[in-house]
Amino acid sequence: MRSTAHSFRNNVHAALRDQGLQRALHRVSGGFADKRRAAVEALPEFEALRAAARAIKDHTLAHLDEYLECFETQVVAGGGTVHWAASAAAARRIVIDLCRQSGARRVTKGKTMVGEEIAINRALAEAGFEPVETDLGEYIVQLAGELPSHIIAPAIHKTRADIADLFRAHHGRQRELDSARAIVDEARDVMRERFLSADVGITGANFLVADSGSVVLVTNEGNGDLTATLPQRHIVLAGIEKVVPTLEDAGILLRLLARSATGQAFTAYTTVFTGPRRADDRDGPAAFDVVLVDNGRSAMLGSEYREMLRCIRCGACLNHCPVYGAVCGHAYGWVYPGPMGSVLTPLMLGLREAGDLPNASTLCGRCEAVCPVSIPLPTLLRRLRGRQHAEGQAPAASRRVLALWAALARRPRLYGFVMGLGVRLLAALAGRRGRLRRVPGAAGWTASRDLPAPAGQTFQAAWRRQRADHAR
Amino acid sequence: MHLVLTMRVALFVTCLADLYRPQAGFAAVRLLESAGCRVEAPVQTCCGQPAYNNGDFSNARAIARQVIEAFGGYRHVVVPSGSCAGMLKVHYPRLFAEDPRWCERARDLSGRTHELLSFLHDVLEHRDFGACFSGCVAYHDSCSSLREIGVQRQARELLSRVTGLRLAELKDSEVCCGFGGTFCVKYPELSARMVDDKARSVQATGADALLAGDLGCLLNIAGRLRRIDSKVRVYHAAEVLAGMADGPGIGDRRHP
Amino acid sequence: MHDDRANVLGAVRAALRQGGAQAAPPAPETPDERLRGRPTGPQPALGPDRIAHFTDQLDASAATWTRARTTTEAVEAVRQVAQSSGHSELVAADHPSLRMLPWPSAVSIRFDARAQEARCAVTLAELGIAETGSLLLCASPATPTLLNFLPDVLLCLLPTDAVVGHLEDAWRWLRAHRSPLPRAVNLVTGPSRTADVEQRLQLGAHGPRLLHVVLVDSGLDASIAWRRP
Repeated sequence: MRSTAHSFRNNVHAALRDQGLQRALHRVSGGFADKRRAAVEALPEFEALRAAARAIKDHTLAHLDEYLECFETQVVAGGGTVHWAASAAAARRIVIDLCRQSGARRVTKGKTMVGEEIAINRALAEAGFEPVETDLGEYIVQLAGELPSHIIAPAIHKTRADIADLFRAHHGRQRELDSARAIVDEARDVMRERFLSADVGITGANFLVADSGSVVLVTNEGNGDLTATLPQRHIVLAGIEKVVPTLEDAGILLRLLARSATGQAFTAYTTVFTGPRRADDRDGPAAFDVVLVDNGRSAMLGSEYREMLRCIRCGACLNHCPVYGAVCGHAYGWVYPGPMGSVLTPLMLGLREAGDLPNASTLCGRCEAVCPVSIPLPTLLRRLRGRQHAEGQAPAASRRVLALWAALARRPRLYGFVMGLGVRLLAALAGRRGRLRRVPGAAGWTASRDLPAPAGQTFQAAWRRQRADHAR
Repeated sequence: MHLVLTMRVALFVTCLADLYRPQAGFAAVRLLESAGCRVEAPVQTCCGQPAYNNGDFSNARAIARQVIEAFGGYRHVVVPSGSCAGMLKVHYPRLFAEDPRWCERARDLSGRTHELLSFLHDVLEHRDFGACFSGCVAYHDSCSSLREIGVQRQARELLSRVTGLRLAELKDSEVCCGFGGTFCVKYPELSARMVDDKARSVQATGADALLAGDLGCLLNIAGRLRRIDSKVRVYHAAEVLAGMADGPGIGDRRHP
Repeated sequence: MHDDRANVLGAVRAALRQGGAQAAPPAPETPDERLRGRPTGPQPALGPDRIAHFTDQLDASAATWTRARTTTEAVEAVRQVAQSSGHSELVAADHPSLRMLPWPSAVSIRFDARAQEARCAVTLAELGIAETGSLLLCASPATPTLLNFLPDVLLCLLPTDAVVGHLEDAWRWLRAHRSPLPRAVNLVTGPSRTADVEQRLQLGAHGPRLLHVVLVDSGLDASIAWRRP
């Protein structure tokens, strides 16, 4: 998946001017946040669950090797196979090999962010397979040739009219599609045929359960189950951080997941998959393969960014972020948008590629406040800024200004003198008007705001004068 | 809490109040004095947030050490800003996580530091300052006040004691105004969108005035309100509480 | 298969040796202790009436339901729902407990696990979970998974005394009665749905449009499990 994170500023510029996108965003604005709030208010145990969830994740991460091995042992005991991929390329190779082994042609896919991360669709297509997204939102963006713009609602940026146009262009049916109902009905129809004809089904995993070798997958549509059950092979793509010790642990995280994502108490379909079909099962895949993907996660584990691995991909941070809310997911340029993306993308692709992301935030903290596993996102963003500073990556102009400010701040007398002059000058420039419409060097501010004038004398100067007068 | 007369309090006035809106600093002094405190303001510059939030931890630490020294001798340090108070209370100890000696001193300062409204309401328990303000007021919670310090309730209680003041709740009051320190000039388009949303929320309340406890937010929102020719006046909450809000607000025409 | 197992596990172990900055170290519990102990975490409080809580959650999930005191009432409920949703033929899971119900001759019902052609299906849930309003359905020869997903209408019978309180009760039951775990354990909470078109909720995305639960107070013998050879 080619990143455009380096063009963040251009992406933002385009997104703010994209009328269709802005209309779509306006329509959903606050919706997820309101639903989450209602769900949280209805559950007095929410904060206790959050603390428990964080503890489960921290404990598991602290023993990740043991739990991964336990998971593997159980999967194998149940008749499945576990594959390990250190990199995206390795994961792609494994998946392609498995598809070849199955003599596959058509491959159905449930929503998997790891799949996007390793760009599996392109790899499948290049290897001669036909990958078909089955999550309706993912299917829509697949038809449009786009990346998902939200990890829970991939096509949130598309209007009904956009979707109707896409369907008419790709399905070859001339239906009117003038309602959401009609669109969903057509999707169900078209997709049913694809589900039934798939040779391999690839899904992600919400949780990997170590003590039973199970994979927990949640969907509202039911596409995950059809993807996993109909074909002869089910491939699960999962980051190594998805493992949890027991079903009880998965249950605690499940109590938080849907509430944090969409405000539902529970997703419509929560399934625990354990291995391939049994001898007397009437359906299910003959082969069950779990691909454990590292792709930078072990590096995060050993770093000061370990807490990011607690993430359960609920999307709450996106839904509460004012920056994400203004520009949506594509602006972030890669698989993971919003606050979590602003940490993950630089860690996975490097700060040179994604340098804007950790900086395009006011560190307002709303994301951390709603994260079900209490990831300290503003702290991690600031840490990334620290790395950029240390590596000299901040733009020169801003480094100089900040260095000047710091140099003055460390010299109180000089500071008082220079600032005293500065505010007198600005106040004089503003005159009686009390504000400035344009200030050289501050176009970033004055493009959309007036600059209020300072009083003209600093507090400290006035204060000392008062004290001196008093003393006389 | 048993109030001792002439409690000695140090004012960390904040660079924005110092340079831009001394009235907010003097309002804080008046509030503290009428609650029985003796206010001192040691020589000071900045809390170090600009360096800190831009990843320059070395300079941030140097500035922090300076602040810790300057305010070392005071039992109470009061800050008329959620973000600067948050910097001293929450972030100074983190800055020195690897330095046990300075960490200890930072933790000590943290325990002695209070945001202004919280100090008046929770510590001094002095809530009525006899102020009047006739008009409708919208109060913006800064992100630090909401999430680092927690003074949502206290601000509203103090304002409710101001005679003649009607409080209107801002829609989306928990959403950031788009200041974010250097963010507002580094990502001007995003900041413009956020402050415009905030300004329109303010206008939608029909309020005569907008108040907050943080000058960064106030300068930002005032700047946008002035640009869209809004008549809403902008003050630091301390100015209204201290009965010092009859003059020009932030960004308003000066009196002759 | 040659893959990166040693590489990945080695990297994970090296990372753990390195430490990784954290706010506070986690509790000193070992994986062994945790896997044996299976601690229960915070649970949402249920009201005093577990069944009422269950049916409230069914309502919230857009499932419909009937409470039947007897098996006669139960099959009548099934007939009514099938009729009112426009289906004259039912496909039922080939389960002894369903076969033995007093199906009236007017009802055209086929006990057939092939779900592919089923438009309106009847199945049996192992458990109901009051906490979430979920039905727990296990893959078995009698109750293949696809029966839960391919039909337009899914009717699910559930003995009232099979409604447990919390997820933990369900996991415990599975470990006691369905060990090793079936290939798929479905927790179904309402019909299939999507809000991917302009964030407006539509039912029946890929799975059933209608999920109707028939709670049966007596006569439905859930203890007849499909016996595996």
